[in-house]
Amino acid sequence: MNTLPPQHPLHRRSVRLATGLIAPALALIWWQSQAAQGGAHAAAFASLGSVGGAARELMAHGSLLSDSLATLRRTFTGLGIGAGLGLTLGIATGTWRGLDRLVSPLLDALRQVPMIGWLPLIGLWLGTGDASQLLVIAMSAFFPSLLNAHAGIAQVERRYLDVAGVLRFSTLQRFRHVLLPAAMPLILTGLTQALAFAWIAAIGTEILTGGGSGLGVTMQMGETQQRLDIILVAITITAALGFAINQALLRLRARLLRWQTTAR
Amino acid sequence: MPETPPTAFSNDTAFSRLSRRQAGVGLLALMGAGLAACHRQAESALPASVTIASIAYPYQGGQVYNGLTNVVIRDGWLKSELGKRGVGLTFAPVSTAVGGPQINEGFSGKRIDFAAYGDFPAIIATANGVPLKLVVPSGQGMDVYLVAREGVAARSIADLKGKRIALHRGRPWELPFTKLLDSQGLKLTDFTIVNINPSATPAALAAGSVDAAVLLSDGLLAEKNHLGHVIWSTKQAPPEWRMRAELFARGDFVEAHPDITQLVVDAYVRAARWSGDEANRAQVIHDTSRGQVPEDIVTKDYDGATYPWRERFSPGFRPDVASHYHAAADYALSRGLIHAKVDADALLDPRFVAQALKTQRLEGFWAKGAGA
Amino acid sequence: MIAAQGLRLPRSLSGALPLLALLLLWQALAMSGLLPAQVLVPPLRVSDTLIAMLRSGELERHVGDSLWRLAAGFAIGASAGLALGIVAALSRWAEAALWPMFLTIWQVPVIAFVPLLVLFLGIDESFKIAIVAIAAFFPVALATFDGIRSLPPAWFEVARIYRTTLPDLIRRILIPATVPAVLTGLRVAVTRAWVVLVAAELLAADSGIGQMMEMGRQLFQIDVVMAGVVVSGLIGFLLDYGARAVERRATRWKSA
Repeated sequence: MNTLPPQHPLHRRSVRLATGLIAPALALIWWQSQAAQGGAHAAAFASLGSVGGAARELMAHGSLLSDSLATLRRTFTGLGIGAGLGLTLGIATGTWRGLDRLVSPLLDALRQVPMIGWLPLIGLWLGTGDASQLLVIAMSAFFPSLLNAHAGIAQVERRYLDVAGVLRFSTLQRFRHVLLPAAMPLILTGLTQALAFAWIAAIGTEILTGGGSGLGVTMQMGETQQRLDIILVAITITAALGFAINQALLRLRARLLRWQTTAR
Repeated sequence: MPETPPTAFSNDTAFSRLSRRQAGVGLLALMGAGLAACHRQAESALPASVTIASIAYPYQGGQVYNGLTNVVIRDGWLKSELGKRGVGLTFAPVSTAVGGPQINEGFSGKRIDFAAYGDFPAIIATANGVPLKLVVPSGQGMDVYLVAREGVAARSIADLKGKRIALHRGRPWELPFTKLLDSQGLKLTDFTIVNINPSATPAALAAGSVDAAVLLSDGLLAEKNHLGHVIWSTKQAPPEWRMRAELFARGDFVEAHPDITQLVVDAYVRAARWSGDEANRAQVIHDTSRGQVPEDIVTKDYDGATYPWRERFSPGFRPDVASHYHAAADYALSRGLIHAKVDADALLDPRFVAQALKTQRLEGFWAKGAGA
Repeated sequence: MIAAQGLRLPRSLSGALPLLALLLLWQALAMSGLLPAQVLVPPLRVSDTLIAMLRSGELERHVGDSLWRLAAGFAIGASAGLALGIVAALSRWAEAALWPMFLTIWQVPVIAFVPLLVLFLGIDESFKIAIVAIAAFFPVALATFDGIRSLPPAWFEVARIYRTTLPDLIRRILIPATVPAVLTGLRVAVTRAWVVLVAAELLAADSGIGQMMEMGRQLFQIDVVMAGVVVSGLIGFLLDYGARAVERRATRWKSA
């Protein structure tokens, strides 16, 4: 089932590409036909022309670029802080059981609290600006990195550690040559999840607080001004950016794990 | 396992123990003295910076304020005056959706010293233990519109009986709407009130989820977009029914720094004077439309005013301002929106405006009596 | 590494301890006056509010509204996700035709669909059910697809050798083998859908836990907001716990 016979048409890239475009093309055609019907439908379905016009309008002011950059900046700053902390703490709790017993249950409890609940408190501590949004994004990235780093370290096979003991590795050597590479797959899984959560949190907080610039802010503004075409442009850019980031991460993962012979 | 070499602290001699304890006590004493000094410092000295919060709208990749705050920023006078005294000036933008709560949280945490926002959130803050002072009233209030959905045959509020009306509870425009109901002998329970926020309301109208909505000038925008038609507005009603938005200040800030408060009030009165000038009318309308509703809607909103242009920005503490806040506070208490009585007279602080008008020789510029 | 044999607490108690510690910390912080009482509401006050809302029936109403939306949306989204996952995993042509579009739309956070759906569907129940369905759809489809695709091809060859019919193939091989992965996907879907629902209710709803929190914030009644946080956190926890229990039971037969 997993292997196609060699003569199967889907082996050819062009065929795969064409097939993949059928569904989107049909969707766009259906959409345009709804918009062309006019009247109430025109309000609900912004015609493709108006979407293009909205895209041009947003690009002309430079707001599309600044929105994208703002959302990206927030995502990666929050990811850096949250994933950095989560990784460090996850590796620490995975390595030292005492710390794990002390810290993990508390973090588990905090994890259950929905992010939005923190907003009034965070708003109080960090004011109404970007800082509160960054904190929520960092928290969203923190937990997946923490959990996966911890699991990654904890599941390192006993025999690898034994080898390190036989070779009389120092703590640093053991860490660099055994623990870290063995835990890398899970750590990378954690990072992938953390990035996804950070992206979601960035757009979510932008929609919720609606201030400054950002793709989520533009979407919310589109809703307020009843401009569906603006919303669609923002959503398209979000999808494209998300796709690009994902691809980059996949490539990074492939590079960092290239020493692995088995596909994970 | 390699042995760890002995460190200085592992030698637990009496001397080392004593030093540590002494150091600890000394440190605590220092901290205590430092805290006490800081506390005293905060009470008498000037604040490091003043923060004024106001509703801002996303516009062309940035954030813009409108109204008097925008003029104050552009003028630059306040910034330089505060700078002369070594005090910084920050403006904190908030979005209109969560602006009220964010500002109240900011007041509560003493992060914000002034805010240009609506009457209801200010009353809510005061009732919940964050006392505020109204230092600069702004004009005659804002108009509220009742929009009936396209396809709903209603020409007055009575026709909407039993129907679904979108009204965001706890927001300033609830009061004009309730006054309308009272005047017609109706109650909120005669309708199905759907509590949704203004940004989702036009969509609710379009989809038919509600039959009518109570909105600000975005109601005019909805009408322009053929989502409905305006069947009533505060333009047909007594002027004190209109909702109000003005400059409020944190109560303890006013007490601690009346001189700074006076400066801020001076700046806003300057801005009111500039905005009230007919020559600047087009600029004001353009600024108001940024990021919000188009200019023609702003113009339509301003149309039909029974008072001269300059009165739109009058900072006077007229009798109708006081009566408005009495009515608003009573209403909020009676509807259970707040649980403690708010003394409207304590809320109003006319000293600073009186001083500003005198200093800037504007005592005759605006009408003193009841608004038009 | 042999852990010191200290006091061994029963599992449930050791799980509740950190929560208790958190509550005590919260209460202490609130009483210290470091942060204003309006915003850092003491836990006792929050519990008072919770009890009052329970008595008045208001809490029941909001929780009921939210839960029924979750159930309806999840049923729709999960079924659709299962269907797409199965079809795309079993048919290479279906995968080539549908999966790229699926993966592209998946790049957009579900919350970003709120403004779009509000414009389309208004703020009625259909909007909220739709957002829950979308939130549930993607994890389930992905888990189903991955679960079926990760089956060793050898199994299919054996099935072909034994000339297994399609219904039998599904019933005796596919389902038991993919149940663990699918159940995990369902668990992720339900917990995600709950968070998304609360967020969507914050943005555009007239009832439900999210809207209750939003209204509380508007009226500067942070005790109501915190009550909502506690309730929604609790429900999220129970959903996750229940789903894990179902997973454990269903995979009992797995010895590994």
